[in-house]
Amino acid sequence: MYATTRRSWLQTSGCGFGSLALGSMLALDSVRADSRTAQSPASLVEQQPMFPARAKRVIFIFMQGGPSQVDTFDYKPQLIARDQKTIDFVGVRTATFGKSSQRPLMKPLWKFQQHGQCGQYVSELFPEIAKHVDDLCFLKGMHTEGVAHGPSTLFLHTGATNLVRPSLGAWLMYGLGTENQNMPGFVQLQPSDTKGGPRNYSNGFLPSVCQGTAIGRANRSINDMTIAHIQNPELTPAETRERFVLTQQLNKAQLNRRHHPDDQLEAVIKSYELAWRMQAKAPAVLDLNQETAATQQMYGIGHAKTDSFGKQCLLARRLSESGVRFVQINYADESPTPRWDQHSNMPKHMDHATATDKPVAGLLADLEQRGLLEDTLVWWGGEFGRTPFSQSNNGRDHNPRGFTVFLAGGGVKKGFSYGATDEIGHEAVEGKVHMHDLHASILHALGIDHEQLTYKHAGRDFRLTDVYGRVVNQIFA
Amino acid sequence: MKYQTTFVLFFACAVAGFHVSLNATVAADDDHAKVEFFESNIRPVLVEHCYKCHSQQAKNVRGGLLLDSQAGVAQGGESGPAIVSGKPEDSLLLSSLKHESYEMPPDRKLPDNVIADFEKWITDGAIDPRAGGKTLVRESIDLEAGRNFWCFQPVTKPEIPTATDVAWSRTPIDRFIAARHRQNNVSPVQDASPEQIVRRLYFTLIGLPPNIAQISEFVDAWKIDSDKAIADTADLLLASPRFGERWGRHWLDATRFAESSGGGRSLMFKDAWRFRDYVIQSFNNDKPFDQLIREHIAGDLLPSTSAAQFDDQVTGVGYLTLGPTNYEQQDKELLRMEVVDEQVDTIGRTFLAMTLGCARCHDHKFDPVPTSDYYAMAGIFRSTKTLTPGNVSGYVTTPMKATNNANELAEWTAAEQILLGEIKLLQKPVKRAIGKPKKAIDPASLPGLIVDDTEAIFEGTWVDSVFVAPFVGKGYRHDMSMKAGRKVTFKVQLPKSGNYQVRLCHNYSPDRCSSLPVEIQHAAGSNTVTIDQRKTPLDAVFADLGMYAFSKDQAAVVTIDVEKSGPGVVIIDALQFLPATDEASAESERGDQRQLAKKLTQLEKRLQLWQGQKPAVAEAMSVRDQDEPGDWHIHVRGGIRNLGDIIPRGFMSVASTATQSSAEKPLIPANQSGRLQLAAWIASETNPLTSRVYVNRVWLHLLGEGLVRTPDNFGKMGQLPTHSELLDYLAATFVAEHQWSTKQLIRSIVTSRVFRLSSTAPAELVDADSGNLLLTRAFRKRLEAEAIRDSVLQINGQLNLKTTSGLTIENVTIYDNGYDHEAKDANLRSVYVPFFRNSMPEMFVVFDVANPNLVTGRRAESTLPTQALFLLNSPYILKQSRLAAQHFLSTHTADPANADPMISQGWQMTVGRVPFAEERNVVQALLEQHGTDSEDAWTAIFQSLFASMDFRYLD
Repeated sequence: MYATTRRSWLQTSGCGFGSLALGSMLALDSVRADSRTAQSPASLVEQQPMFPARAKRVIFIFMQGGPSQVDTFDYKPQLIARDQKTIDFVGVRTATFGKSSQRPLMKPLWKFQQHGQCGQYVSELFPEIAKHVDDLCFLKGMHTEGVAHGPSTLFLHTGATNLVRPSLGAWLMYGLGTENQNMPGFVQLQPSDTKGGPRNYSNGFLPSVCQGTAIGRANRSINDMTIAHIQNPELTPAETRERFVLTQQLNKAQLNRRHHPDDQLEAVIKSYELAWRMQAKAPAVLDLNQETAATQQMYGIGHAKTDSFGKQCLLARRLSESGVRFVQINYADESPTPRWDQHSNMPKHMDHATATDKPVAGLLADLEQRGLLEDTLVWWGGEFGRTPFSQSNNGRDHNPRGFTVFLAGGGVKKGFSYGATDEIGHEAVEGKVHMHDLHASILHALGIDHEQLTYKHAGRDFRLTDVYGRVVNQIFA
Repeated sequence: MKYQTTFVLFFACAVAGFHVSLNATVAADDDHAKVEFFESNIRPVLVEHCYKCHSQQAKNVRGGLLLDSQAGVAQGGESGPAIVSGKPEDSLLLSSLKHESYEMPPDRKLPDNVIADFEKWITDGAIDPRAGGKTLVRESIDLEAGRNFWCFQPVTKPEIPTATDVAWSRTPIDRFIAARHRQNNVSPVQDASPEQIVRRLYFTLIGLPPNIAQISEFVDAWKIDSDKAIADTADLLLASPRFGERWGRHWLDATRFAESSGGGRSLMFKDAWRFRDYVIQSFNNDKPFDQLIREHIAGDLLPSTSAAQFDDQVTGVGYLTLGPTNYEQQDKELLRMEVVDEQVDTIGRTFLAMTLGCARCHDHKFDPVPTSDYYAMAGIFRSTKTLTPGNVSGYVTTPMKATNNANELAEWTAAEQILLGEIKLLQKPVKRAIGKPKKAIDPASLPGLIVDDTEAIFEGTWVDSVFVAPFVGKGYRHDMSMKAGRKVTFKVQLPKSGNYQVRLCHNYSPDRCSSLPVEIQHAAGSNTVTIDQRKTPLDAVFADLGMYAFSKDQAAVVTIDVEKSGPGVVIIDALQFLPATDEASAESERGDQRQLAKKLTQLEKRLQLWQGQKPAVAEAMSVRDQDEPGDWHIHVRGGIRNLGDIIPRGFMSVASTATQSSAEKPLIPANQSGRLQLAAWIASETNPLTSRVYVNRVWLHLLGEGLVRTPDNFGKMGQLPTHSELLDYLAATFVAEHQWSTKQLIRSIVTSRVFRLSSTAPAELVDADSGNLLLTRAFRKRLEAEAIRDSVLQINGQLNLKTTSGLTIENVTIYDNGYDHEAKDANLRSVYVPFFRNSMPEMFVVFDVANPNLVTGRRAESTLPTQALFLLNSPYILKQSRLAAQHFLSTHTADPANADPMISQGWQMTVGRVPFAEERNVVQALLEQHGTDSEDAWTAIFQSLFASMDFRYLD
């Protein structure tokens, strides 16, 4: 008697913004029916893209804090040649806003070498990723908004530095629904509570089913990576089952007494059934012990320096494999100066590279060998880059004007590099790709026109890219 | 609403080209050359790089700009004409190509020679043979037509329909509803049961369930006189302090209240609780709503007759400060405008149910709100100070009067003033300003011989700077903190032989070099003195290097070898040679000064200590008027540096009466922000929106849906009222009869028949009145997160009821993230639980609490497995269920032979009724198995009850 008509009792003004909700996991409710016409209800079951998609899902490897482009992938001989020479720099931070000053250039701290068939330069920081350059597509003319971590990180995730907007993953939930009804569709692994925190994966004004599900937390043990309350902490499996049955008996008794069919209350009963199924299925997906030792080694699991991030990367693969639409791996912490944020002491970049190089390379190789890379779009990058000139002796400041990210799989060109910064790696000058453009391009890869994926809120249509963004067609194969 | 439409069409016209070809004059030759230049150097670039977004063929014309015709270029886009013929410097097209205004094309700058071609083309008159083509339609808003839309019509009290069924209609409200039933030939459902109605009254008015005694009392009274039972219970609940906690929370949703900023670094608002408590008290005291409006918008400007009133008002205006501001935003001009935008948009939604933010970049697409209206209001808030300066900005606070110990503070301030006065007296003779001298020091004003850094020999790379004052002459140089190969030599030919005091000028700062060796070669050899540039020299300018004899025949050489210096930035400014006679008088003066300086230092230490003992001052988050209020520009397309016309400050023209609008702009005195006038305009009985919007919010919270179902948007994109006359009746009586009293409004609604109707309806009625637009039945309401939590805590005896809670954030720190709500949960009512933008109690999030970043009139109601998992497995619910079982067993005597009475009581406490047979059977079986006094069994029962739909929903 529960398989009756569905009706939109979910309000379109959904507003969950939570960190622990499993909003995006279910097939109960309405999301995009056909955004081109109306916001009529449909379900979060898988939806057809607007046009043939190159990718079905995304894995975003977030390098919080802003890795330096000139020390990693953006090789600038002129920067080496002009080491210690000064340049004029007009400040962008509050204290120095608009003020001109001279800053000394600082050459990369690591040596560069060409790799692969494509001859892409990679510094010594990433020897393992370097082995995969023929699969990668570099965007070297990236630029973005905001100068401080908070605004720029929010911009990276939501396309706005301050205003409250849905995140990229939430837009994908809204546009494409989820492939696996027993799993959340939008997952964040060990996200940070800082620099925008839950707003980086919130649904904003989209229905709450679109919000991201946090698995674990930055700064907490890697072994805490689980979905909130997926298991009962006190009861035995048999007792858990008894209690579930008791609850549903009461619910059914209460529903039966109404004498009239009632969609709203039937949905309550269904939500318990779904939760029960998830309880049965999700723990297995989350269980890394089901992987062979060889696979674990590939990700650097078991080695002190790479264990934690390796586990995130491996879990990302398992989630993607099970049909999760958007997985974000966070190399993040909770400190005021996040991981890659080397205002002084650039040599620390080495620690971060060591922690992530092998796991990322392992993920790329694993996706490749399982045929997942074909329709999974991998995106590696930070919220901005770093300046080619030094700060506090041997550090580098934030640089939103030019930086590098790379993509892989999901129909992007292989062994390709697009765009460039100026000769010292400071400002994007060619093939410039704004963060809005990257957002538009990611949606494009998933078969969504960023200008058409709109949601009516507060009296007007909103979209991820506001009134900006253009698809960078040059990067697609 | 109608748009006035003007089409500007340019028909193909061959005259120009015809003219050129037939008249072979010199001028024509010149023109011909220019056309050729256009054809070869300009047109191809436009076609290749611009047409994709700026031509009639474009899929989506950007910025309203067409570049495929002369007319299009001339008219330009939303930012104005693309070129000014002959004036490249004023031409937006050129500055965009140079990436100085916009950045076009967006993916890369065109080569310099191409940009130079455009410059030449514009300088030469921008000859463009592309006649014909079309420019974009410009629409303008017709305010008169806009006023015809229902919500902009004046509120008039409609005639009350006659009642045909006198017994059914309990109040005039029912007559409006019954009239619609008759018109549509539908009959409403029966009343709900008294058990359901009392539960409904308790939850809607105070947010807590009735206990068993309260239920039975009501049911008994209902049997005697149902009207009286409802009226008496309503009065009782309206007088309860719990009322303000419930209705204050609704208002906090509508005012996007939070105790942290959210955004990047989510800063805690340590004083936001005052606003929360103020709102709760305002509802408990039934403060007239028009007064609340005035306090929210201009509380700091209102007159007050007591300290308490002053405090209330400055706390109320905190409404303007509580937004999700990203204080970390580094572009402070942008931040300032973002705050203004947030304030305008929030006020629009809270009080007017208008989406004013839509008019920020262009005229509102749907509602008659021109951009000029938006900036008329933005001018008011630009004239209002909300932020305090800083790398991470802060918010304005105002000291409160009644909550501060005025005497203690006055005494403290008086003592501080005395200290400050003494210090000021000493500062002059000591020649030490409180800050550093701000300006460059003219070398001519200094005694002795001055050798500036410009005359020194520098080795290695040095950087010129004027960043830190003071300095002598044109500036100073620094080494960027890099030592290698850096050395400075001063060679000075002194006019006379003799003794000289040598001094080196450097401004000081903590990042400076801590030990800098300076070598002085004099007549008798050389000495090396090490100075510390982190320290303040005595007169804030010069460090003393000692007295030496110099010969006029031998150059004095002062050498600074930076390679031998300690860490930190080395500053090189001027060198001073003071002849001994000068030095002698200077020395005696310095002796006096040293005395005075010592005293000054002591006084400053005392001041510092004293300031550390300042009596704690209670402060409210608030705003104040700017020192120089004034009108502000339109920001073309919302760009903060893209300034258009200046707009006189004012309000929404369409919602103003003809005399208030465009022709006669409201009079805002030049020395005021205009908030007082804006508050008066919103809180006016003639404002067509304010009263309608508010009574609709109240109706929504009582009935489950508003008469306008989009409570925050009454505009074109919102929904029309289902009962427009009833809405107007409520709005008119709310203002005229109830004198803006929320409690009277609520009482008039809950005593109506429509409030008592059952929520279950037969399928035929659901079909006949789909969506319940005719109000033939009650809406079933889902309990909000707060109501669920508070009920659980009341049922298990843990609820801690305090009337005013004050600050409830345990351990105020800078950021809200990582706040451990569970550990700090003091079982207070949920409205008092710290309400952070980046860190919420899990239960709030799971059950759709209002997003404090947005004005929320109606909360979302999702039904998710998240909620199921929370209710089934969360430690919080498991713990509360066990406490419920313990509390229940400690207050009820278990009869091993008969579980029935206990089961009934458990059900009544939790779901407000006795169990159904099916429920009873299930539970009896469980208790038979485990025993009627089994804590485990009762834990399971309470948990399942909390998870059941009859607990989570209000029938």
